[in-house]
Amino acid sequence: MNFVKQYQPRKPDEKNTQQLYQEALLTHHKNPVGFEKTIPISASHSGVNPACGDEITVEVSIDRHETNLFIKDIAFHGDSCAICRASASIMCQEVSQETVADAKVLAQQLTGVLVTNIALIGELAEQFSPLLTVQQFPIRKQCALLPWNTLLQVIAQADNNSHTR
Amino acid sequence: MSIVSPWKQDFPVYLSHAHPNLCYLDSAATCLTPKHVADAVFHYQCYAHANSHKGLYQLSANVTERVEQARAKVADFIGASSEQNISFNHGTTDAINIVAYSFVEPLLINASSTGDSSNIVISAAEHHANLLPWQRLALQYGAELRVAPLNDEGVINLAELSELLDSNTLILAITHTSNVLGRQNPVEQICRIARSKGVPTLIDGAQAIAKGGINVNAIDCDFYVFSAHKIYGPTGCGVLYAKGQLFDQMRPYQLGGGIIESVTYERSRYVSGPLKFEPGSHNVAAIIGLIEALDYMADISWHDVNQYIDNLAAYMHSALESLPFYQPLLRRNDAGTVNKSSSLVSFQTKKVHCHDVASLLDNEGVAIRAGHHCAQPLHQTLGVNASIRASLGLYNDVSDIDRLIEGLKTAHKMMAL
Repeated sequence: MNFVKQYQPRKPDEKNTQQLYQEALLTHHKNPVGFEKTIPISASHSGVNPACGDEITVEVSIDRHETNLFIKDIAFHGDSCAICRASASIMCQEVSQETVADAKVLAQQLTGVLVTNIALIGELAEQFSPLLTVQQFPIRKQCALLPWNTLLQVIAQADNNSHTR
Repeated sequence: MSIVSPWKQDFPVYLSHAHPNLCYLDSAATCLTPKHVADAVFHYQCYAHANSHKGLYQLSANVTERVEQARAKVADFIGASSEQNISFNHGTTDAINIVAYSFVEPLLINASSTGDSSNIVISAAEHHANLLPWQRLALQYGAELRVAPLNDEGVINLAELSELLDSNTLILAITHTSNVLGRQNPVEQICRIARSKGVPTLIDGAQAIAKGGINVNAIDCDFYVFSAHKIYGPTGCGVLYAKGQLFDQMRPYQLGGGIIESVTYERSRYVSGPLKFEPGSHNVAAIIGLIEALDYMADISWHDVNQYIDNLAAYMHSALESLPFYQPLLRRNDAGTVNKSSSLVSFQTKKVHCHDVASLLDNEGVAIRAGHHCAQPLHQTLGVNASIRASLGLYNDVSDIDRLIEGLKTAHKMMAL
């Protein structure tokens, strides 16, 4: 009887990391949207990844049109890796000028997609394609999620401010 | 220097059906396991397993004997006076918590009941295991947690440390070798200073143990702690050394079977000596693995291994310093000797974040550590939030360093802003 089950290691695949750091993501990393931008701040929050010490601050400028709250502008600051920075850049690109309610849905959708590895189709898949490769790199998911989780905190704060106003 | 480590073949992880191309540079986190150790654990589990110290049958008696032989062997390995000074536990973290809650907490309770002020002294180089238990106790009892600063070479500043110690210091708990900076503190000198002020000492040997040659009597510390897996043994096994009769002065930390003399519903009496801190069942497989690791290291010669790793470390430091984007956490001193002999090095690369470096190196089969290495306050002190750490074991060779350097060059080319 064979006591030891043969161990099958994952074969290193050179394409993998290149896929993670694909050109679209590197473009956001090297020219991030909203990075260190100065805006009037309606709400802000600092998020950290306790495992690695990465930190990011997300700031939003909120406008009110009738009963709707809009994200007029959004910015981020902090020291983080390329995945986190690109994710934050994509976030700034996608939620600027959206209603707070739509931004919240988008953030919830994306975090759900990354956490559960659900496939996206249509417009959303295109919008977030540079980030979706992170699904194959479980260790790096937390880097991509940090800006979006931080945004959800900012939105909660903005909602809270609008109710108490 | 030999191109291929003469001991690499002893580590099954490098076999063709496992990870033949692995470049493992994270031995400061945990050492790979030699076949001798894995075989000993396997043999015990298959053919000799029983509970120690409890069964009245031969198989159990054999296991009890092996655990007690292991205690004597560990005592000999670290120069302790007796096996009665050695207690087995789950690892460095567990051992520090035992000292915190069995030795220091009763002192804090006593001090707070009499209204005396107390303090605990650590250093700026501690990893979280030697910070969090002390921080919690200090907060809980209103004691002061004092942090001894480091000098430019990453070693505890002795003059400033001396000023922090006083008659209200309940313990000085410091690392022997930093897991981030790789620098070794002059623990003999430090313990002498503490003793002159009547302060008990705990030395965290998690990193220093990998070089062997520890002599707790020469250091003259009250407590010394380390983990088996930092010395080619299994995880889940650690050692707490306590000087003289200290175990008898301490209250048990966790309570359960195997540590009592008598139990009634009203009260219990505990055994004396190290068994008082070993409730429940021993992790015998890991203890046997530790002993096999010590035998393995003794057989292949500590001297040869240390000389080999020292030479490899010098090669690693020179290779890294040749990279224009290399930024060590510790700057060179005037003599240019900083870190040269350390088998671990922590650094950053200009304009590429360390997590991205780690991912790109991983794709090349190069395993390094990136982050704060469970030493976040030290990184804050140094003004960075993360670093890359490469650390050596006896299975590494020149080709591993060359692959690290190539991987760093690739990462920089691809990612630098």
